[in-house]
Amino acid sequence: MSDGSINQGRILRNLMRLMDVTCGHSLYEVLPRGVQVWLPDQSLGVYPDLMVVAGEPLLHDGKEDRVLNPCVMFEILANPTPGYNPDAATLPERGGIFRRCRGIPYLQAYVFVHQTEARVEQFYRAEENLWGMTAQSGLDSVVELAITDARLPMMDIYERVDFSLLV
Amino acid sequence: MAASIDQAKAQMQELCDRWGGRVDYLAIRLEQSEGTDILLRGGRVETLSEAIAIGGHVRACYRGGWGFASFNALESLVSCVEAAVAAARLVGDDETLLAPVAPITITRRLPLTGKDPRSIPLARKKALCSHYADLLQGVDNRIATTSVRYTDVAQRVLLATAEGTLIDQAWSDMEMRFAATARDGDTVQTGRETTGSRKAYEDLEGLDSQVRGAAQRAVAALDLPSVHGGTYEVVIDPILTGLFVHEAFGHLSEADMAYENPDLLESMSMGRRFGPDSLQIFDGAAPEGHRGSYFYDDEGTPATTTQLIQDGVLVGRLHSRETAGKLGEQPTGNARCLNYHYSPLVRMTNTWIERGSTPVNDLFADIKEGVYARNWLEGMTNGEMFTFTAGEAWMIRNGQLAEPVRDVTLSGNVFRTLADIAAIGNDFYWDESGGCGKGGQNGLPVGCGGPSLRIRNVVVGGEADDWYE
Repeated sequence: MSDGSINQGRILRNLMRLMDVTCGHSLYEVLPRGVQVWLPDQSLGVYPDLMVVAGEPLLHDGKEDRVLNPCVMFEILANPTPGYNPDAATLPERGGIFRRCRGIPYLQAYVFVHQTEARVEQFYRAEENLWGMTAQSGLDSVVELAITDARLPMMDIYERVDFSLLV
Repeated sequence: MAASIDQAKAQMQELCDRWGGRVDYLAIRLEQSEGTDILLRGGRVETLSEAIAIGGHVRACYRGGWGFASFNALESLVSCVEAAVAAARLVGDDETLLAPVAPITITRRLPLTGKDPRSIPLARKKALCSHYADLLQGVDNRIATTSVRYTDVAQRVLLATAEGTLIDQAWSDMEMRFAATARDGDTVQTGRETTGSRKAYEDLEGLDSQVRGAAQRAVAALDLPSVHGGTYEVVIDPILTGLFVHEAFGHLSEADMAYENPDLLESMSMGRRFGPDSLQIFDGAAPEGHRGSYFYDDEGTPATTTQLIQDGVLVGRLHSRETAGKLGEQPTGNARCLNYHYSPLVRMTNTWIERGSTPVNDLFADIKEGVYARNWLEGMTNGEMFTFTAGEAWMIRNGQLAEPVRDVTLSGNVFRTLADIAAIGNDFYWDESGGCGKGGQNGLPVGCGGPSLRIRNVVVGGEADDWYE
């Protein structure tokens, strides 16, 4: 996920700004990369690029670096990856952290933000164990998060991102 | 509270009479609910609550524009009617097209066949949850965590419209969800069970072997090999069939989805062949005793049974009054809202594939190498694409069940998959576990049913490739 490139930093900054403006002053709290989400079932933690918590953060055993209740997580994809293709025989497999985090009962949306093209894929919890997927591409579209009522214009997510740079 | 909601009946009718002339459609929906929510994680109580709520909403339509206002205090009813009417008149600039339904005045209660959950003390419900949590935990010392969720709700809904409808209906709905996670080193496996009822609290008792099975599957899967990914002929059990017909096909039959998406409307053209001659698919709230059963939908349209696929050919879709009016079809009684906070959407009720004629054992015949999948753990959908993770699975070798495998995901395109149905079993099972999600209204009770199916050319994934790790 995080590769420290300048584009990665720009997307992260843009997302942080957008999310904080759209929902950071309501009951939601936006937390940047570096805060650990703890998965008690698996006794391990993961570090999303950005997360949103509804209400007060729940801390595992009171430990301040182990958040249990993100409702939205963002992951910025470092490498060129096969995107969603409506003609493909199957849905794209999104493994890694998302697969580990799908058991978090509080998680409502997991958002992949591609770095090498203007493309965002949102997986949202449609039912307790069933996830729906929406995909946006191109700078003229808008990502509507399944929770928080946030609407994120792709143009703002990718502000100052230079797609000609090699990752 | 019953008295206050009864007193509101006359006021609802009076407001509909007074304001109905200013709009093309006016409906007031008042709801009273009593519910219980219990969540035990790792055997410890995380949620334990009983709640009583009363609230309602007003919907008005004027020249095709909708106004909506919701309230949680009866004193706000008049101002909400004013607000909804004003909003509709502000946005309406076209034509109101609502399929007609005959006005009716009626009181109906969905019958219980056993105990009403409201008569059961909270302590007894909690004790039932603790009993099941102990069962899950006690299966093996590799069970890392468990969760048991119990919810019940008793709803009474009044619906009054300016057309003269006054419907008073009530039902009780119960659901329990069980999960156990087993861990051995880095290997983590989960087993789940879910059940629900609109008939009796007793339906949630005595589930010991079913609950224990969830933990046993999680533990057993720790030592199983992953399936070798590829394209296989598969046999799925009735629960997976129910999931498939609801998630992969049913949502595409909801006319609001099609109406808003011209490509989908074309894909879902009436008369198009989707599957074999033996394939029959239905949806309907009219069959009694299931999670999606009711008498009238949230627009006052009587419950029906709608055939969606007849002899393999698309013959129907699900409607609200508005989608039926716009598409020139009959309303089907599928306008449902989760509660008074929301406007009704076109939703499924009980959705099923009809029983076929192939003996279940014969479904496996002649399959040289295939996969038999039962139940499900999780799923993903996007339009016509789906991926479901089986709850448990076995290889089929030379027409016989062979070794168990894990990490079985079944993926595909619903249209291709329907066309690839090779045989339909002569068994049938109603899965009453369903909580359907759409448009932010998640957890709406539905029933799903079907027989076992044999399907060709299913993409079976093994252990996921982790692109991003």
